[in-house]
Amino acid sequence: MRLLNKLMIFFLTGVILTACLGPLFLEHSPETQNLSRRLEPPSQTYWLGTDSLGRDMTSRILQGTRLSLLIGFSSTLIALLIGTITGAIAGFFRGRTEVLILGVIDFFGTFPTLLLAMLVSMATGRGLPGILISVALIAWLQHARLVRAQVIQARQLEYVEAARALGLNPYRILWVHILPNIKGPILISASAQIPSNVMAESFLSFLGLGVHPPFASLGTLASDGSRLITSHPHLIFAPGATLFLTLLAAQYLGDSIRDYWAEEKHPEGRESSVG
Amino acid sequence: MLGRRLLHSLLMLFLLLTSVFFLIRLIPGGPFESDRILAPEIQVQLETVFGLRDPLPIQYLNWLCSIARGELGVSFQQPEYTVRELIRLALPISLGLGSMALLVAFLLAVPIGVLSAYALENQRYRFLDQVIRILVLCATSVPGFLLAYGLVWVFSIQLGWLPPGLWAELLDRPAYWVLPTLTLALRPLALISRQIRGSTLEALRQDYIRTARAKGLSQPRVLLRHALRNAWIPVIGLFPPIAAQLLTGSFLVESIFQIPGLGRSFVNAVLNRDYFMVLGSTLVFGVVLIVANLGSEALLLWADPRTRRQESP
Repeated sequence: MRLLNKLMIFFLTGVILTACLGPLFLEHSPETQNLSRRLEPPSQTYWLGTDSLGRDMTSRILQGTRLSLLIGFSSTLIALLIGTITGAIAGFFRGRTEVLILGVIDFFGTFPTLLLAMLVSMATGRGLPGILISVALIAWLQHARLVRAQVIQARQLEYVEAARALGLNPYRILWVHILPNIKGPILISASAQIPSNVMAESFLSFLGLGVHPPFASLGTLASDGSRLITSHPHLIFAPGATLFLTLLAAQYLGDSIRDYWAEEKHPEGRESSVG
Repeated sequence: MLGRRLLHSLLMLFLLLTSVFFLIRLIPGGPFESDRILAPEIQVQLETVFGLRDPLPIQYLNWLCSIARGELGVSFQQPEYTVRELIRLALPISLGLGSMALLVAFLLAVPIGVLSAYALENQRYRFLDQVIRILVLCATSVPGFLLAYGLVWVFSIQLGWLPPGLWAELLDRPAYWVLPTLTLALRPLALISRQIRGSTLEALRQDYIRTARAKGLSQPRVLLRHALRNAWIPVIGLFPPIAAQLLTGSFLVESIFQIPGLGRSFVNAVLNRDYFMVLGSTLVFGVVLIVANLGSEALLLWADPRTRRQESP
């Protein structure tokens, strides 16, 4: 499986590099329309064909990949920030604060995720901020729960007691002592969340709540393409396949990292599961 | 304990409906602002008829009163129906599709999970577990709409075996059910088979399995009668996330395949600012999620006597 891990890392790096650097080498910009060459199948000039406005699909897909990855990363970052702050406070101070924060978490948990995302992105209007907020609002719960559980565990350990005995400010204990010690599982769950956030974004885009044209994420491209599926299947399957393979590689790596971590923590469990 | 949870869930449902009531008014645009522009007088008249010109708190109280009477208001999109009638028409379709998908997912996931665990246990078949693992990962990585269109493209457009959309009763024309059910079932399938694989592996490590093997029982018997018997129990705990997945999936699948279920009418209602329809569907979804949550907890208590004495943390 080492080989597959390497392959996936290689592929993902390739996707990120191509998405970021590719446009420098392509002759067609993603926005240039060429109405005399609409809906062309893949050819030498247009590697992945052209869309209904004669725009080059290759450079549109590269742009879309960039946007999808950007949304995946930044929404995870926002969710991580909200989740860590609320979860850490709830876990460290306990008492009423915790009850309140848990109530908020529970409340967001009962919200059907899609409804929440739709409401937020409709209220903020189509565009990057709306998408980021709505995806992050779905995603932060998981972090908050995890961080809370980790902090509750950590605050009973001796180094926290020692820090307390030194009379340190509780916020200092939390941010300087506890958080760096529990960052492992948090970062792992965050890395697993990036692909699911990319997927959530593609889902919203499919419902027409994605970013503004002329910008398009992979989800927007694929859902635009779905209207012409009978006559021009490349319009949905080229961006769709890019999205799928990227997500697959990212999830595979996320799984591997998680397994590796579990192995480090509980080597005895891993041994018998292999045997 | 379940009683307290129920009370808590009902409170959350109430908060959910209240916040949706106010949040949806924050969305720019109203129910009667469409592409064809109405004369302002007509719009005012329409809004008066539906009680949308009252102050918002009054509207909220009116709506609460109507809920207490068991009424959910009228749909702006189809004013000839009440929201309750629309839900009554659409909900059985969604529930039928959802249970069908759940059934398919469960029936496929159990053998896949057990096979995967068995393959991992036996050195000779290790590769099989890896293959299954990658297939399951594919299932969780494929965006729902892509899967749906992929299936449509292969089975309807290229091969012409199955209809690409629309709807018919299961008994009349089962062909219409195949693609939506498959699309909807894939994600729960991945979730359940992962769980079964994990818990079967866990069970295979226990002493009672060693005893069973020492008695000389055949491999299938050990797997199915002894290991699986304990291994399937954690699947019950997956019901809440599965219910959420099926809900989200139903929005997508019903929109793509043009199925007149609650998921599609809900998406349309949100996009068209059909306030009362949105609230009515949200109520139904909330109830479904609560039932899944509490139901799975009750089932766990019933299925696993060990959980009965434990206090929840």
